[in-house]
Amino acid sequence: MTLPPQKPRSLVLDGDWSVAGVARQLPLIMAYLAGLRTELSSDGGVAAGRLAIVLEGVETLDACGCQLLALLACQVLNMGWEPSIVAVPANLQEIIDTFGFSHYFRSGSSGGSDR
Amino acid sequence: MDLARFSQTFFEECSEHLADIERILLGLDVHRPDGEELNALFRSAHTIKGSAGIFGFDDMTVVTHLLESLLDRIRGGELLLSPAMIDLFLQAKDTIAMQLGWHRDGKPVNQQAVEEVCSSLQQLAEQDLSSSPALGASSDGENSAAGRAGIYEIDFVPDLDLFLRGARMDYLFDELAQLGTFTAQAEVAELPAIEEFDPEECHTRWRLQLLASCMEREIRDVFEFVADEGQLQVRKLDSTDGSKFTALPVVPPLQPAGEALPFGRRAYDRNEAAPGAFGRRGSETESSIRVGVAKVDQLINQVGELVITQAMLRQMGDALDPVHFENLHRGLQQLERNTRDLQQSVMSIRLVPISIVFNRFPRLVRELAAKLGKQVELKLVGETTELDKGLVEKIADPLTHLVRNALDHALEVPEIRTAAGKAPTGTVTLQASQAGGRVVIDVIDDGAGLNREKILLKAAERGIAAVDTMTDDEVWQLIFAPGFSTAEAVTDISGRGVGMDVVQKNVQSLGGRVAIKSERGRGTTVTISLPLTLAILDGLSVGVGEERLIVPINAIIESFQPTDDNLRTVNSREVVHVRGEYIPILHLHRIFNLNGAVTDPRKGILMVIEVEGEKGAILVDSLQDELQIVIKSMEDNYRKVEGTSGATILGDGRVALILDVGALMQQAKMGRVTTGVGPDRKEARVYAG
Amino acid sequence: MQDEKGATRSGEGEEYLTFTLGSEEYGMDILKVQEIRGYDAVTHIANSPEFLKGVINLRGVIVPIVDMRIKFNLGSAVYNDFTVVIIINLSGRVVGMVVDGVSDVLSLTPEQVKAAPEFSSGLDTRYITGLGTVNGQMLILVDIERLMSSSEMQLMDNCAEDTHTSALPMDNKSAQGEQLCNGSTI
Repeated sequence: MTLPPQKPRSLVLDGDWSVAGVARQLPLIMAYLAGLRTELSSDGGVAAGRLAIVLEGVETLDACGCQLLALLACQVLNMGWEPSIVAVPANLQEIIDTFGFSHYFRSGSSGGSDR
Repeated sequence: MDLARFSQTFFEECSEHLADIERILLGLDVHRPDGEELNALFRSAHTIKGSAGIFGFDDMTVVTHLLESLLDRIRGGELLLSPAMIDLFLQAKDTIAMQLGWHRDGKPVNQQAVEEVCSSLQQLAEQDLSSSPALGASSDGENSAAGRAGIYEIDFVPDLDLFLRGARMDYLFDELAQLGTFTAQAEVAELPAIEEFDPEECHTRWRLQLLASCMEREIRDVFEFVADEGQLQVRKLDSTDGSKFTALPVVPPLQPAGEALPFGRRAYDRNEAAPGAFGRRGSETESSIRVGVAKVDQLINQVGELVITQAMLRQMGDALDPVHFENLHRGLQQLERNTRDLQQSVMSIRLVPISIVFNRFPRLVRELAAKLGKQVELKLVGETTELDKGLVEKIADPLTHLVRNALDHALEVPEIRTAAGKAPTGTVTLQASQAGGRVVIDVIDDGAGLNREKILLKAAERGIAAVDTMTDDEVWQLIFAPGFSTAEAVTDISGRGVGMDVVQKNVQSLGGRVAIKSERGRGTTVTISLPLTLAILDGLSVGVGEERLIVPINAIIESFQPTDDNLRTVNSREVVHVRGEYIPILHLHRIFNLNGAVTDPRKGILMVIEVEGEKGAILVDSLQDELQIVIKSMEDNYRKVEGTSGATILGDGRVALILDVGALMQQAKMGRVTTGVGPDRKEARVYAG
Repeated sequence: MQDEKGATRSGEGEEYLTFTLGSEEYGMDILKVQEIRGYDAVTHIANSPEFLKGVINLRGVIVPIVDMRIKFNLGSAVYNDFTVVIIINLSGRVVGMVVDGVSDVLSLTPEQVKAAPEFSSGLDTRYITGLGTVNGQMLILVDIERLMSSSEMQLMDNCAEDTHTSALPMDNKSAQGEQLCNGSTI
């Protein structure tokens, strides 16, 4: 690595991440990803680094929302960034673990929790 | 989320499950019930319960739950099936259907009936709780047969619409947690691009490991509402030692190519017809898609227009030199084939098996027979015969009427049957078959048959023209006369009566016809013949004077030019002698008042047509093309034209009327019966506008 | 075409399509006119009244053609390149009407329209909404919907069954429920 590690970037998510809300979240994510892509491709652009996905403001989350989060993580990873979720409320973490999505995110990689 | 938009599908599926329940219950051998059928019964009840719960139809859940638990115990062999139970279950099914009616259409619910059924079910459950020795053991999950703990590996590949259906994965995982301890790993499928991603679709599949002391069936039951059989794999791992579970390595990541995973079956393909909705019905469900009938009809109409355009093109092409335009001709032929195939495929969408109607009869016959104190066996033949969905819905009432009549009036009570030397159990046969372009449904009984004398007497009383010299067939026709049958007529006349004119009218409105055959003491057969579909017809265009008319091909037997030798006059009626048969001649130009037509049969062509065993020879000037035509309604902008079943547009853009051969023959015949005068004048009279 | 303004509209002038039958000039609500076309070969309908010439294929729709000249004994019913058919759309029901000629589109103010007196014309006064005067010429205004859905035209099923007797509400497609067939013939 010749470039110095970048300051972690962050993406703050909020609102309804259930099947009822994902349709509204998707455009935001797509816009954000497009922004990231532009930054990478522009001259002297930013090298990819860590991307923190902040879940503090997420009100509801279900399996459908987990799926979208996982997809977001994959896309970010494909661009060369390292995704992680931060500021995860305990109840959301439990949902992510129970539904088996934790392996998509660097934090909370402890595997499934026993229930 | 708003579930209302999904409830329509629930209603449909629920109705199907209820129909399944009834069908299975009626077909069950009480003493040796088939295990598979018991399972299917349970599954249907279970599915209704689950789906009703999701929509908050708690009243339905209560009844279904009681039914389901009893069914579960029966299939588990804890409870012995009895005839009384079947009756009770049928009642329960009716109750659920009534509740469904309330939720769907706001139809009133008889609360008392609901309570009665519930308490009966409850009683049955409790009574057997005390008497059934096997019960204690297996109602207690801890001590159940599969008591030993084991590790199950579960692969779940859901439908794309899992989330949209409102399936609550948290509930599902909670239920699973109640069985034992588990870990889950989700795998989001490879997706084309985020731009094309529909976030509400489920592109995730799960592998779970469950440590539990339960039976595989219990695991499958958890997934009952969300997974088709093929979407769920449950394997028991070798290790049965519970302590090993915690030491298991982290679930291996699911690789799409992993050989151990039979995930390949389910392509994440939007095009795959995803079975619509709630409540899977198990493996027998064919992959299907629900489409509104209006959409199908629109498609059919558009294809109809295409067929007309194609016919026009062909006609224009025919006028061109075949050598110079060889390629064009070949292309046009190809187009014709393709159009025909397309048309056939499209038409077949509307076809459904007649079993949809037939299935209601076992119950009806069973109940009615019990009420009447008669022994009746119902035979269903040709249930897979297909006909147009619109027809299926409308034929149900006339058929019900006929079956009721057969039971009520035609079949004798056992004593009388025995005395007459017949088997005490009467037989009613519903038989469907396809003949040419028509579907024929027979309602056959081996009862007492029609009573000629009483019918004639009754006809005279009612002022219906009738003479003693009429043939049997003509006498039977009388019962179709409006006003012949009234409630009192029924009791007098052995056999049919009630509203046969209504039956005939209903059937005729569908483009069908009713015929009746009867033999004293041997039984009666009522035959309904219906067009296969309402929209398209193979026809032969014939020239009469300056007009062209279409004759349905399936009615045509042969065409020929007669000579003096085969023309006769019988009863002042022109007939033609064909191979020993005398067939009456119908002059189309007279019936339709057409000018410039051939009037001498020897100079024209006679076309022999047959409808329900009746033959007629229609006189036309010339035979023209064989065509596949689209039936257009005359009533949209005009009115029905007697003797025709509609009109069509020919290749040259002109309108041609389609002959209703059945109506022609019937009218000609009725004309003779009622007036007894020469044929020509009365035909004109019958058809006078 | 679905516009139901008809004869009750007041205020600014109403537009009429004028046509001739014999020596008389008639006008009908232009909103009811779908198109005007030449006379095509028709397909004859069995046992229909003489004025019903038959049916034609109008872009895939089967449309009956009536010849008003025969119906009302006006003019002579010849068919040539100049014969005109007015295609009328009455709440979705399409009928073609043969006339001697189409003259003009005129706008009449309420002042120009007078109530129809009892007078002798080819048309029954029941179907006449008034008389207009334009440039000194008299124009007979026809309630075309009422005329076409009347029993005497025999264009509809429930009117057709017994033309000579009953008074049935007809024309299930039109919203004009108050119209009744009373079955009298001219």
